[in-house]
Amino acid sequence: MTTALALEEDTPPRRRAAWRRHPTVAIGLIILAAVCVMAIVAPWLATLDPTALSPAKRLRPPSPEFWFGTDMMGRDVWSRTVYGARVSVITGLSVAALATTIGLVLGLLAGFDRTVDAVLMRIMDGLMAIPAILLAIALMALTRASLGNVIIAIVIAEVPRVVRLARGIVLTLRDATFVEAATASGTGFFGVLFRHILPNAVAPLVVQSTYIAASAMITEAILSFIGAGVPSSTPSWGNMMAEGRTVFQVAPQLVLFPGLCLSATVLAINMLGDGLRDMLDPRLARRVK
Amino acid sequence: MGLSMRDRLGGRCGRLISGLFGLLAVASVAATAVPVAAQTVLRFVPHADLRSVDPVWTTAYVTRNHGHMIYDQLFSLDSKLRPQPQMVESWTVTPDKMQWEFTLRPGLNWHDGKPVTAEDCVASIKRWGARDVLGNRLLVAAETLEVVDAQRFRLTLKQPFGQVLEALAKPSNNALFMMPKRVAETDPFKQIEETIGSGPFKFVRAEWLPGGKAVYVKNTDYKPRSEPADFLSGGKVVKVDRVEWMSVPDSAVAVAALGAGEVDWLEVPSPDLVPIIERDAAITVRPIDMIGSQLSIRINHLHAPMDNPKVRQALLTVIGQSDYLNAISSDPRWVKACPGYFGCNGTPYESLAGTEGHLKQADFAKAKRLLKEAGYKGERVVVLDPADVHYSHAPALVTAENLKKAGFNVDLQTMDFGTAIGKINSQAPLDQGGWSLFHSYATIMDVLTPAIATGLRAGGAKNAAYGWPTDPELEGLRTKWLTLTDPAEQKAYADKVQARAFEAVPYIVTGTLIIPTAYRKSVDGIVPSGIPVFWNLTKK
Amino acid sequence: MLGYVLRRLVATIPVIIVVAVVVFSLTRLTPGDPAAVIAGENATTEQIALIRNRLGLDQPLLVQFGRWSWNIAHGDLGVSIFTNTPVAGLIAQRIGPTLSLAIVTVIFGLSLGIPAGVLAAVFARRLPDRVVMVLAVAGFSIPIFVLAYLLILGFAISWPILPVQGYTPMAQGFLSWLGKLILPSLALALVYAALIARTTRAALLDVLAEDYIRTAKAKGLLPREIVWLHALKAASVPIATVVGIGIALLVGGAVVIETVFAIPGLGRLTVDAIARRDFPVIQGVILLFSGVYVLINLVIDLSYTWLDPRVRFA
Repeated sequence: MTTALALEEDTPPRRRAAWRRHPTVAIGLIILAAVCVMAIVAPWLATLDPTALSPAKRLRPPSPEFWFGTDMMGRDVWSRTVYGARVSVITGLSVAALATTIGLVLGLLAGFDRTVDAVLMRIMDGLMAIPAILLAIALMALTRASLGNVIIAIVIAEVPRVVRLARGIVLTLRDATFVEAATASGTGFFGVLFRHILPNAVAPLVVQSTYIAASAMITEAILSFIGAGVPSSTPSWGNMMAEGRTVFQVAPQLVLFPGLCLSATVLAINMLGDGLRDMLDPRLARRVK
Repeated sequence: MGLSMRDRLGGRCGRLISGLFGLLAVASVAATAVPVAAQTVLRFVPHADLRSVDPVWTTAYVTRNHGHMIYDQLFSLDSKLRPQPQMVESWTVTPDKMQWEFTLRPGLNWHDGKPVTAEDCVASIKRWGARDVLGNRLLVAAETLEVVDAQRFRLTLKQPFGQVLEALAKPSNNALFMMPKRVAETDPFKQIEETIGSGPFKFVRAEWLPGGKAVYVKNTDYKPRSEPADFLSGGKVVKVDRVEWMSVPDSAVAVAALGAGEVDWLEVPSPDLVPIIERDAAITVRPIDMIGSQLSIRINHLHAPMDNPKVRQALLTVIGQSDYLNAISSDPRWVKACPGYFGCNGTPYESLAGTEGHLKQADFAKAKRLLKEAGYKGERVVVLDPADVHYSHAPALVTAENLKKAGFNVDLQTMDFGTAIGKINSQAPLDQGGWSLFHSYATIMDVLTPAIATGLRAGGAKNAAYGWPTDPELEGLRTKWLTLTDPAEQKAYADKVQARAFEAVPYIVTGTLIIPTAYRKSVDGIVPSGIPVFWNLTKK
Repeated sequence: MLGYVLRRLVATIPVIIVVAVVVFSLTRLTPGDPAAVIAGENATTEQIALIRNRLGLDQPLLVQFGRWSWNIAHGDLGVSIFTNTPVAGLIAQRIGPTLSLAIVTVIFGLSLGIPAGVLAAVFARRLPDRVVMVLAVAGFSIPIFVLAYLLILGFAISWPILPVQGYTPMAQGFLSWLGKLILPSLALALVYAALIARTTRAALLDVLAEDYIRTAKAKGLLPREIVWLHALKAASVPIATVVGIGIALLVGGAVVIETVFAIPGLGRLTVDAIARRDFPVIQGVILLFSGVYVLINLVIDLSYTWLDPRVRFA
């Protein structure tokens, strides 16, 4: 489900200070920072306990008491939206970090060892052939619904793509002249790895990981929609929308507010990713001039 | 090559786009056109998709409703919930009520044209009895169930059984439907292959899309009884040519489809959407029946702390029905308090016995006291929460919240309904994936009497439904009740069963759900019945 | 060439085997039990055991797997536990709606995405480019079911020009078929078009910077012809890749869209089957999806040799 994937393979990136030419990065960062702050200070921003039920006050429209109204269980939508930022931020960050790390390690292994490559890539191809959403749904059915398991399910679905990317980078770099020169001049395996391969892999992987974070947040929402997401005792934008969707004609605020937050956050991450790619990709940078 | 490429990508794409948008307006007109104009087709959105067509094999309500379309019953219930003859024309019973003889009415035929015989009926009763609770009791009480001739069969009892006609008229899980002998001889634990009945509709198997669409056509050879249709009893006179069950999984979209006239009847709109539907003058919303469904908390009695009656009493004191009803709907038309185990609103065994001081309001102080007396040591209480079923999900959240306030150590486990239903049948201890509480609901037709209310079965791990309560006193009362034939005695013992249930707490009733149904005003004459039936109604 | 195609075909076999093993173990490790779902809430343990026995679910997992793969190898996908009908038949019934949805979505996606991408590339870093790119990013950022509800609200309720839900086979009239597919396809196509627009733009910018385009310019070809003739042709490689990747995207989207719009397709079949633990159906459908994915990617890989302009212009 990674959206803009695989476009930035085989890029030998050079860093260029180009922040000013990339307003999208700035805008993306600002929105993201706001969401992160919201997630951290949620207990102070929230006006009510996000999980406290008041069945007698269900489906209230927005009012001074309930800024965003109440949901089908009489819970305060504003407080849930604020707390929901936590789930989205945690999901996005952990999936991106885990998938990238695991993918990088496996990708390096595959890139350097032919036997590992043959076995690992067949497994990755197989995993990739299973639609990510179906894989995640099946994994969720396998385990107890919880935030941790949602993250694991999405990571498993995302890892194969990172492995491919990382392996591609290693294969290109391994035969590049400067790496061959280094090897010839007696640099050891780890020297090559840490001095030449990893630094060059960082940029495309960082860009890729932003897209993974964005797609993970969307996948979390879709899993909730299908009923295999984070349990509603932990408010998330995804499960709020999933619960509220059945009454969207009566109480549009239940879908609207979490939907806006989620879209804005994903938009910000995608903008950040695009901006980073433009900054880190010399070919694009050249074109810009 | 270059030019053709340009043509392919530029010109054709452009033409395609303008073409598509040109079609847009026309398409919307065409889409609503009815393909076969001469027929009356009723489009119905059932509460769930029809996936299995064997009403003995599965207890899914949608399959039961399918059964009422294509099969007929020996007896069926009227609106007072009394059994009335349906396929049976007449019957005799000895004064000691130990021998019954039934005569089928003439002119009954299977959909393949062959006549219905007593042999078919006996085979059908036997297959059903292998799976249904009440049917099983009937067969156990029976000395013989034998064919007399093509039209008649005889039931001889070896022990008194007070529910013979009620069993033969059983309308819901599992309903007793008549099937041809060759079909009824299928292993009760395997699905039947054929969908041939003798009911007022024929199933169009070729058009069946499991989980998508089920199609029925009028059985033109069906001979309805002469009495007017009343609940499930009386004449099943079909006045439409074709009924299509279309599944629309998204409740908001289903309501929109009803508003747009794409469907005629929505079996169960979400109560929260009723205000939207009622804004539309072309649509009627009313209760599907006044009996409703029983909302309940099923308790697993096998594991601590819920194996302790004192702890169950503590649980009972934190249950206020209004908390649950409010969580399900804010419209009092659809939710009603009902403390009794056998339903309210005029059900035969409606009673207040034993209800004193219970289910009105949560009393946390008393619950804490009871927990202390019970020696509760903070053992985990696992509350299953199927998030995809509103009538189980909302109550689960209420219970978890209230139990926490009373000092219980609550573990709320969210999952999908498929997982939950797999779990509740497992007797495993809590640390091996077991459970303590599950919120269920069932049509009141399935809890009408001490015999069929399966949640009251208290024979322990081997001889009870999920939850497996053990209470010899309750079980004794229930067994005794089945043998009673005098109405006054039956009522008195039903009260005793209920009073005992409030002491032993096999499960807890959290209220009655009155299910709304919504249909376009072009449909008229829908028979009020908790089970949607398609005879008697007309469509303009 | 034939040898290459054969080698590639053989190479897909291990992939399919991995999929089969993964899918089988996933379904069997899942805690739910179809027998319990069938028997209903009030069944006794004994009854459930009997149903499990009749379904062959009480046999060792390896035996079940062996039997299943043996049957698959012979083209038999098994029988659905719930509907008691062959899985192949169920899939055949459902493939029409999903295929229709996919085709219309791809048409929408391409006809929105490619022109938008070309526009953005031609006007790189100017207003049209920025508008297209913001829209494209926004396209990724809206959960697909929210978009679906907005479309229903807009075009079926507030301004009722299109049907709310449902599916009509093409045999019952092309227009009613298309009419019911427009909203669901649009909802799906937006993400897809966004992806294609970005890819087209990036690929086109890459190609426009290549030497042979400069040569073409020197030959006196007009810029517009350059774009359509050479550049887009060159850009078709990454675009083809994205179309392939998009199939996976479509499957994920179809699961949601088919539920919202009540389309009886493969996506809903799968989700329903997972919810009820109808093992043979889950296995059959996922195997099918994976097979299609592998096949499409194979076709795309093979098409590179034909599409790659650098080979052609060399």
